[in-house]
Amino acid sequence: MERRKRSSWEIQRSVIFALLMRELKTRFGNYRLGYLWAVLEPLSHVAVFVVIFGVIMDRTMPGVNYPMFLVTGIMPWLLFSNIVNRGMVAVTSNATLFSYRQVKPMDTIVARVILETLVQLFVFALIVVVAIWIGIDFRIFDPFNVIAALAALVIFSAAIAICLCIVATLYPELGKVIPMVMRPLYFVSGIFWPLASVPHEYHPYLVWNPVLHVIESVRNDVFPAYQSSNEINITYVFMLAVIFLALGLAIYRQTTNRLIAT
Amino acid sequence: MIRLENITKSYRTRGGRRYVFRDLSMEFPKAKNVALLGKNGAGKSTLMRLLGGIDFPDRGQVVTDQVLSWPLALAGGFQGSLSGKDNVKFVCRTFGAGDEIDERLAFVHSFSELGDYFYEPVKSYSSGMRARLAFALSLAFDFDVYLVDEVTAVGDQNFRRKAKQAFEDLKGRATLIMVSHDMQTLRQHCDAAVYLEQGRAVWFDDLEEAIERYRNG
Repeated sequence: MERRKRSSWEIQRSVIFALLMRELKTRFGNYRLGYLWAVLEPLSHVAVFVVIFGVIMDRTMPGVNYPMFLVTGIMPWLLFSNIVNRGMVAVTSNATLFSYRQVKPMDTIVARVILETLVQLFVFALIVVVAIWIGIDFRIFDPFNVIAALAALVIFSAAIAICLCIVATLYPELGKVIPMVMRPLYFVSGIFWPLASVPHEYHPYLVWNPVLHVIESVRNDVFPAYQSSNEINITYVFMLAVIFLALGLAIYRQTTNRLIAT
Repeated sequence: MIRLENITKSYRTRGGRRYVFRDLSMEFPKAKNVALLGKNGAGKSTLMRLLGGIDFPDRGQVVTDQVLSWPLALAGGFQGSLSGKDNVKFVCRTFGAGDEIDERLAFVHSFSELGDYFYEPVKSYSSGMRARLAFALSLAFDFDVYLVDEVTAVGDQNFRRKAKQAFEDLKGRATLIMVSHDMQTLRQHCDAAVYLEQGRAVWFDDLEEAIERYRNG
């Protein structure tokens, strides 16, 4: 065998690729239900809310298709929560792989972020295509804005995943608390209500939440009748993403060896 | 050459910090098969992990110009829910072995003698089968030094003979650093030895002397 020294970038690339193929297999390989679940999960959220709020919401938001309104809320949320929840445990669930020195903790997080992003975006696209096909009026007016909003969300989620992964790996007790703290976010991210329906005095608190910005911004780009607020700002999400990414990478530099050895 | 430079390694235990090595410096010369001897807890496996780059000293460093294998131990490295084949594929991919994957799969399949079990989840394997897979996998790659931690002791008579033959074939091309509690295994494979005791390492050019020292505790 030729003994060519691989650059660290080459090594990382092949490790991430190997991890991706492996995650694909463990997530979807064993039973076909995995694929089905990826599509059914968002649809089940949508179904529940249509049943509960469908009638009222059709009246309060004329010109906005309520199921699609929910889809545009649920998909960014699932993108965020799946990246964070699965990325967070990337190191502990791949611990045996660090027997191979070329496999680094960051690779396992990156592989999961890539996989979740691909899966959720694919499901999102699939739902949109099917919706249009069955005759629902749905158009993306500003695809660039939607892409920018989702890109900001992916980077932000990845940054949070890195930070939380380090915490959850080094302090398992704390790791158990994180999902509990995260859960209420589901209710304040505007998944099943528009920001405009909330009294103005609560807005200053709600707009701290970057996921809300993404969801509102996506809706603004797909529903012509949608009234978004000028408090919504994707640059804010990008800024938070960069700050948390810098923070996560800085802690990662300090803790890489401990992550491998625990 | 593998050189340990002023290695200090400790672990936190409930009773406070326990030092495995303090300021350990030594060199493994090239072209020698080395046995690591020492009582339980003397730091044999820790040293293997440090050499394998999967654990890190508190201070000091491991310097080498050779390509070292991962520590071939019984436990780690495989994901139970995946088949032996998929586990092997994963490792091949991390080495960026794009075109050679099929060759390597074929080699591991035949050398491990797993037969159809190769396509079954690793969690259904016996410890002997796991060891065979781990061992075959490492031989699919050309390392300068193979770090072997007890792994060959598990297989049956036939597999041990095969492992011995494989190590014989490596001679001149690669060397071993080996941990085993079975002196017979060490005698078969190693010429020199390192005796670990209380955080220090003593080099023996002659394995028999080291075994003598080990026996007398």
